[in-house]
Amino acid sequence: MKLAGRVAIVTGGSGGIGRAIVLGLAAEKAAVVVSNRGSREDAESVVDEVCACGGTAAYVSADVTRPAAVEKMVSEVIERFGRVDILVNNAGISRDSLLPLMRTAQWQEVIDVNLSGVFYCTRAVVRPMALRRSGAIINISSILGERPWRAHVNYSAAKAAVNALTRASAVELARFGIRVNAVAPGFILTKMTRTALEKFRDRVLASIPLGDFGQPEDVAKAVAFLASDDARYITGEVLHVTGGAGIAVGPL
Amino acid sequence: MTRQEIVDGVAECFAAALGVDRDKVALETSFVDLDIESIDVLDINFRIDAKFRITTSLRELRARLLGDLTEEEFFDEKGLVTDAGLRQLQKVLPDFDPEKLEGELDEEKLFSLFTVRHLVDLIEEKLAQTARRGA
Repeated sequence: MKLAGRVAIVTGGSGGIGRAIVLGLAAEKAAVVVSNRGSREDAESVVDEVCACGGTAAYVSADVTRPAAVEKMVSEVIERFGRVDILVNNAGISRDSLLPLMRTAQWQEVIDVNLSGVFYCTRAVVRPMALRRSGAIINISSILGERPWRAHVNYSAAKAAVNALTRASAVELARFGIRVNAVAPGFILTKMTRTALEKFRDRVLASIPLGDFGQPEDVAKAVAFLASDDARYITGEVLHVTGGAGIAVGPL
Repeated sequence: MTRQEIVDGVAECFAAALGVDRDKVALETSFVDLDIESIDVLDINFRIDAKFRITTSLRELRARLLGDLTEEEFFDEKGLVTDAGLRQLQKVLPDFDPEKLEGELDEEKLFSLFTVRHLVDLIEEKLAQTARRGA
């Protein structure tokens, strides 16, 4: 019940990790607004799941690459719930390609959603959070922001920038009672990653000290912690949820 | 809301945002006296918004200084205030004396000329507008 009375927005809240984050925040009794630009049906199924468990959730459609749509989303949340305490910038896409073959559109789309979207959403919640002098923003980064992987230069660059954006906004927004942190998942099993992870299963597992892939709920727990008052003295951090992947220099 | 209540409320916002004693903030205290930076103004604006339920911004304060002059009329190509701009400032800042200026007047120095009174006046006008709209 760490988040009772709080209102959270989760962008991209209908996908694998996003869905788990929504359910995780709702389990701590936050009212959760699920936002996406894709399937309304997927988002509403998460909302229904929360409501079926006695929680409070709502769906608001928003494309995080459009600043006006983002402002409208936040206004709708304020109108409906009167406040916004938690923003989880989870919306993200991948457009993988080897660097020489990467089309400009593949580069730009990933930067637009994964980086600019985080900025637009953060900017939109500053005023309502600052008026209450309280807020927690959690950016979903990735292990790829620090440890590269083939065919992901766009994704890696965007996530590295999200880590920098996290620290930079934490410094600026602390003044207004707003904490900004990031969670950097490693190899998490979702519908989106399952095929790739299964393909490289043994090699990837060999690089994870804890010896297993992560579950979306592992990420959700970290997000709920950073959103709560248990993390009241934590800001500007990137919390790795990776089973230790990437920390070793030699063979495990 | 009386003007005195606005003055008191604004002074509280300044004191809380800057971490200074309330008595350090008088109507004629200028931003330069309080060593205010743009992030302080943002903080003050948020506190005013929360207290008075109206939004204020540095941009609005700035617009009051420019009056009817355009950016091109107020600033020259080097970003310094023109003679027409100086005359405009004398109109809106009764205590402003161009003769006493040290060096040229640019955007940053212009910002330091604001006083607590400017913000109080702006809030008073906005509250009156809101009251008229509500009536």
